[in-house]
Amino acid sequence: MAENKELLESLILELRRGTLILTVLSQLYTQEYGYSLIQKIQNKGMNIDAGTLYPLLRRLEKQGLLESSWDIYENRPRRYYKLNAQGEELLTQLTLEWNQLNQIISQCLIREE
Amino acid sequence: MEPITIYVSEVIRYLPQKSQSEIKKELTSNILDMVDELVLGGISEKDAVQSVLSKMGNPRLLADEFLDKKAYLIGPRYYPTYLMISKIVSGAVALGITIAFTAQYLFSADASIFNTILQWLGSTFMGVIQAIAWVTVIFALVERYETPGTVKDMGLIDPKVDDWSVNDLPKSQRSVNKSDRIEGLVGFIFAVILLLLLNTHLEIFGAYMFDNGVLREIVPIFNIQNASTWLPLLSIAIALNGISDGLAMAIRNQTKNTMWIRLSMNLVSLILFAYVLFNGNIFNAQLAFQIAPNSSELNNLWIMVQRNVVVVVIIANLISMSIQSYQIFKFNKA
Repeated sequence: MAENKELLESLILELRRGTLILTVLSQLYTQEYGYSLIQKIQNKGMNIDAGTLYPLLRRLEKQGLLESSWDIYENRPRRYYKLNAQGEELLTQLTLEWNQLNQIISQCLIREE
Repeated sequence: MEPITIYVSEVIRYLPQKSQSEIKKELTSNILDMVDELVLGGISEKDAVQSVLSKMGNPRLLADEFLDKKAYLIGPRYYPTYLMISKIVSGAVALGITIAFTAQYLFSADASIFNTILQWLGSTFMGVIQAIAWVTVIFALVERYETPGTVKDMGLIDPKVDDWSVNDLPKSQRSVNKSDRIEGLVGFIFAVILLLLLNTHLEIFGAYMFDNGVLREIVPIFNIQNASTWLPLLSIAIALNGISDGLAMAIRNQTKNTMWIRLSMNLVSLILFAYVLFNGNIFNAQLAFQIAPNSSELNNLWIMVQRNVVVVVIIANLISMSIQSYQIFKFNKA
């Protein structure tokens, strides 16, 4: 039983990992800094590790999907990230893909008698 | 604030130099945001810092996340070191070959300069290619198998990769001891050149005998006839010393494990040196006789020199090991 629970947890983790980029990109139409993005995503019901998100943001920026800028006028300097044109375009395509996948999987999950 | 500074410095030490300051600034700011949130919720600052850092996890693994995935032979974490070692090894090999060819040309009566240059170019090219190939293979293997539980036993990796807690952070930011690195660099280059010359041009170590400005013969210092019995062991001893110096040079932040590994290498090297020097019959016993057949003074001097070399090598090794032991002691106390 305990083994089953462990397996389920690891499978859920894997499932979520696949949707992580889509989730993060979808929340960056407006600019966010690391911690504000974590809160935003958590408020929508999804948990994300800071240790996963911060490097991911940098990676997405390196891949040319995000733009970033430092705000040094707040009480501490913060780096803000936002989708750029290429990121928006890619997000549109990913969303389309997600919707199709969702439909297909929903179909697959209907148990045929 | 101090644990945060230490944590962040532990993360960025694994990252390429050019991204370190940016990630340092951003990570610190993000961690402070998370701490503030907990403090606002009524938790003490100290507990908040502990909780946030625990949640962030092992700095090494976080650094791994910041690095690109391993779709490469030698990744960004090792690339600067790989480049540095490749340059040093190729330089040392080229220098060693140049010394050997220069000696060969200068002391050979019938050598043609054109042929010597051609041979020198060919040997240097092949030597450098081979040196780079070996360094690449070693680094590629380290990169490939450097996962928790494999290379960590070599001391290059924090052994507590998986079971990390905030208490595993060092008490203060690690400092870089530049003099150790320079000393390591010099020792490493010296070892590479010495190994190369001993194994390819053993005959150039000798007393150069001239007649009216023309080289008559080179009386070898070493026992060349018997070289196959002592040279492999001596080479291993020198190589271990060289690797130990190489580690001092290549690893920016020495850990207790790297220090222990260097000390063990030096100990094995010392035992080999002592064994070879005492039992190996490595010196040319006839050197004094071949230089001056009738001089008993020279013969006595040569016997004394052979004995003293053994003592000097052993004492030098012991001093170096004592310094390393003291550094480990200091590291434990820090």
